[in-house]
Amino acid sequence: MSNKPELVCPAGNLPSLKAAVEAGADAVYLGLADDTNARHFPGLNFNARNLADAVAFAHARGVRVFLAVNTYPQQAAMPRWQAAVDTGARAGVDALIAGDPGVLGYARRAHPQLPRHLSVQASATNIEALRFHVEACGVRRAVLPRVLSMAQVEAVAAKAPCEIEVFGFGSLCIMAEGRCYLSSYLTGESPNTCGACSPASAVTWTQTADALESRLAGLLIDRYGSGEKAGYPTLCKGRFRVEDRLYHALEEPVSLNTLALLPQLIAAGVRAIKIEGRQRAPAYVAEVARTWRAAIDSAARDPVGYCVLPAWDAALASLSEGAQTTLGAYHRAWQ
Amino acid sequence: MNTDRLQVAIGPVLYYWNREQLLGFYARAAESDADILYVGETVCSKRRALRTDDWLALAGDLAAGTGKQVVLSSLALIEAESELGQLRRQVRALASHPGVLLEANDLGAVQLAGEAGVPFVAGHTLNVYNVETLAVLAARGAIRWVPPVELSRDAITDVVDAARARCLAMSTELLAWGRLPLAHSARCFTARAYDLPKDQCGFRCGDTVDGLMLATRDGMPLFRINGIQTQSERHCNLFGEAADIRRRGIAALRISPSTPDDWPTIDRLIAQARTPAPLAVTDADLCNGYWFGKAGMAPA
Repeated sequence: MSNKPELVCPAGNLPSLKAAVEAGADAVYLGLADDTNARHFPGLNFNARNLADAVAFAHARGVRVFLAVNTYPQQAAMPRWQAAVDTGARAGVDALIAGDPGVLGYARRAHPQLPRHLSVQASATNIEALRFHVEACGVRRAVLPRVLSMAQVEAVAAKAPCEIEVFGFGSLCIMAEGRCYLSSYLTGESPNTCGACSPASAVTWTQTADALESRLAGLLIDRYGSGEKAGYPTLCKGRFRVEDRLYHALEEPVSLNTLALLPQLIAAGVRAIKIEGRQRAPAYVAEVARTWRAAIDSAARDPVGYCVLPAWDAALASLSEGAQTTLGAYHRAWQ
Repeated sequence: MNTDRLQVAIGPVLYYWNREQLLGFYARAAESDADILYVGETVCSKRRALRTDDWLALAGDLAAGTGKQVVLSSLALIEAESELGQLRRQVRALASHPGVLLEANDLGAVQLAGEAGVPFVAGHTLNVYNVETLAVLAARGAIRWVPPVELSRDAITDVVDAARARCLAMSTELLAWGRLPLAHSARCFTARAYDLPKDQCGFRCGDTVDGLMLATRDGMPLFRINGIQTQSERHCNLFGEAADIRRRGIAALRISPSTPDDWPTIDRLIAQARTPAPLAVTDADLCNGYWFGKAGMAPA
């Protein structure tokens, strides 16, 4: 078996999916246009009909399609999540990505032939949590949260009872995914319940005499002077006061980029590299997919001689939040 | 335990108190009217005012000496092999000490408890949003669950009713007083506040008894930094809803302690839970919103 990891790219709509497929993705992941997935953004995602088109387009080119049903259904809404799983199975997707044991259990009973991947939202950070999901839900693959250091990824991958997928590039959650309620604390909507973090409907921008202010649910997230680049007010990336200091108290607006770690990730036995960004435009998806395709091919061909080409770094940096990238938690010093 | 009335639990200490403060707190807790005591470290494995063996001994002493139910809480975020090793030791010890329960705050703990036959409380970080998930945990030995802090009263009631319809032997405990734990990260925000690397944090989270306040740029208090945990700055207080909570089939109210010496407050809350018709609590500085199906920080 080849040790070359699969490149898993985001698709928020059909044009992005085509862009990802044509740029060399091995698989694309997507969601339905409702709160059953963690990128429930206005104007994004698929319905039953264009999901079938997406699957047909991808399959004709040898690319797999994963459906994310990875939010947490509350009791009364469970039938809708089950219907989402059914929709995916009917459309012929190649795997389901879910985090809720209730959803995974339903999929296992109703569509046993459909492979189940554990969503990053399940926040499975250790080998025993993975064993739980393999035994209780029969997951074939797990996406690790972006809170582990490289050494911890290696330790988990070495003993994992299932395939391991990790995030390679894109927006960075600094909190353990699926265990962050900051957004619902302010807005009533969280990734777990609504598939939304710091939802656009709660955002307001105010231009004052000397600054541009971003607010979420009326609370000041950041203020930008004339020379500063304003960013989307994701709540963990604002500037706050702690004691007498004003700073990015939780995280700077940066993106995760692990190109430099690729040989280590391959050596660790990671089976798939995931690109974040279903909310991104097709041109973004194409550029990131093309860059990672080249990098993965290069690292798999010659892991010892592998180096990050300046052109790759330049391409990704230009697309990144605040035009800055970080190794995030993979690099212990970040923590 | 008397199950005809609402039970009151004193949740695990979330902050880094020193040994003296912790032992003093639990000596006083033993004399309190609380029904359930949680002990153990849930936030950071580096905190060692009490070590694993100290916590186990304390749990055993409290269980033997008080007649209260004693629960050993485990870490919410388990990443390092050493943290897993510590959890395995806790589970092994409890397997031979049936007087103390485990609180599982990560599904890794659920896995280990299930294999060892240790009954456990499913903590609020386990993401139980529906009865299908709760049933999976029940099959592994969960006897009580604490709903995620963001679930509304209606969503909780739906799960409680569905669990009853399925005849799950499961009771429900609600985090009803204290700051709400809202997020966990690999990053230590206390160390970050002092420009220290996490590996050389100097245990600065022990400098205060209840973390660091984080405010917006224009001075609105918002969150509380507690090592890798981010909490609400405001407290929730649902004790005024005790009658409705009981009607909804919830068995226990949890108090999450803020300081080592706030016994006047804790004693008053316990007394309030014992009152047949407690007064509603209205205070603009509370964050009771989640219970009422609103944004968490809404007062009510």
